[in-house]
Amino acid sequence: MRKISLFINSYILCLLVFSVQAQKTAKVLEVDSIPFFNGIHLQGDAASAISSAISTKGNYSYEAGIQVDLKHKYFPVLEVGYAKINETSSSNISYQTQGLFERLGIEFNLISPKKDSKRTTNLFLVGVRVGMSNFNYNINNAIIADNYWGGSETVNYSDILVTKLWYEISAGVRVEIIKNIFMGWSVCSKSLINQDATGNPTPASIPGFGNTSGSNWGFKYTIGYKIDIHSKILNKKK
Amino acid sequence: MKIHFFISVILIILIANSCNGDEQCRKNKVVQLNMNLYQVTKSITGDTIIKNPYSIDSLTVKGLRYDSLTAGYILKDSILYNNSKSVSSINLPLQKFKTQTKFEITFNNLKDTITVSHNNSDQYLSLECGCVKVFKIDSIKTTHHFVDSAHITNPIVDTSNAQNIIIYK
Repeated sequence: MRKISLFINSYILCLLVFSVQAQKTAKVLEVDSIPFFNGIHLQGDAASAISSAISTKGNYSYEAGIQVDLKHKYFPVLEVGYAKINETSSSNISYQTQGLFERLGIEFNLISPKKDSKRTTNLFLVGVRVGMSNFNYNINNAIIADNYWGGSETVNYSDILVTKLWYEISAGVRVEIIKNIFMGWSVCSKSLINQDATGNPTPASIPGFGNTSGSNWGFKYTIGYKIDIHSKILNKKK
Repeated sequence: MKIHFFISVILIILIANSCNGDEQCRKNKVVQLNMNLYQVTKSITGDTIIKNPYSIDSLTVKGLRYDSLTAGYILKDSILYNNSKSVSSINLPLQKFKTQTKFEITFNNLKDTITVSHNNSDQYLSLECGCVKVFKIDSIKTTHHFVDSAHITNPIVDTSNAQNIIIYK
């Protein structure tokens, strides 16, 4: 699974590098015609909000972000969220955590504006983010039984404080549905940067990251509003 | 077109949400002391000692538990190896909640008692698997009816099932 994830990560990275290179050579539009600062996107993730609403375990995760449009090509992004996670395994071991998470990264718009055509506001974004969450977690009711000699004991780990770092590689589209209102989806592959030592308790799920076992694919459905500062400045000048 | 896109997005979210179901433990949770039997022989010239793996014809192993009423060790009813044939490797469970484990081992017709002193600690595996007890062997004592000597090769007893003790005949 890790190898597949690594392959897909490499593929997305190659795609990103080649597309940026292709954009450089094409130069289909005069550079000066696109302003450096194009506005700010304020956005939220509807997918995590819907998942939270239909969760039967009382789990939730909400996040919002701010993204800057530079030359309609580079999109630095900062996202902040809060998640609460309750999980119970098939062997009745429970896991609880809640905490803030943050992500910082940059996305690149791969749609090259065609010469002599109207500039599109739609975006095809690929990017990388680094995420961080500092949180406490509890693992309760881990039963150790001695089937031959007899006896059992329950192991609980309480209030373990950890800081987890991860990186994400994402790709997705965003479409302007009405003026300055954007909607779109994106998928991302997540990988933990810092792992716990074998034998020590490890968080089963991390706010903003998700499950630490199995595949770590994320899906976002973004709804955002663009504050078009550049147009406002131009209107004032006129 | 837009409504189809919206419905497909909702479906993906629902499927992704339903994928967070129960998972089963796929890790090894068995922690047992591993002992291997070796035979010590001298070379024809007599100046070299040769150690060879040894297979016992018949092996019976029972646990010995401390009985506070009689203030002594008594045999457990449950038998770990019952007249097993051609055995060269023995896997035995150490006591998870005590720091000393005794076994009565019958090699063919000769009985020996092996006492293992150990430290116990918890090792967390995962939310699906929970915890296991792992051990660090401090010392080993044995009687010498069949057994010549016993040596600790790896004091850590965990899920790796590595060889921990060699018993020389």
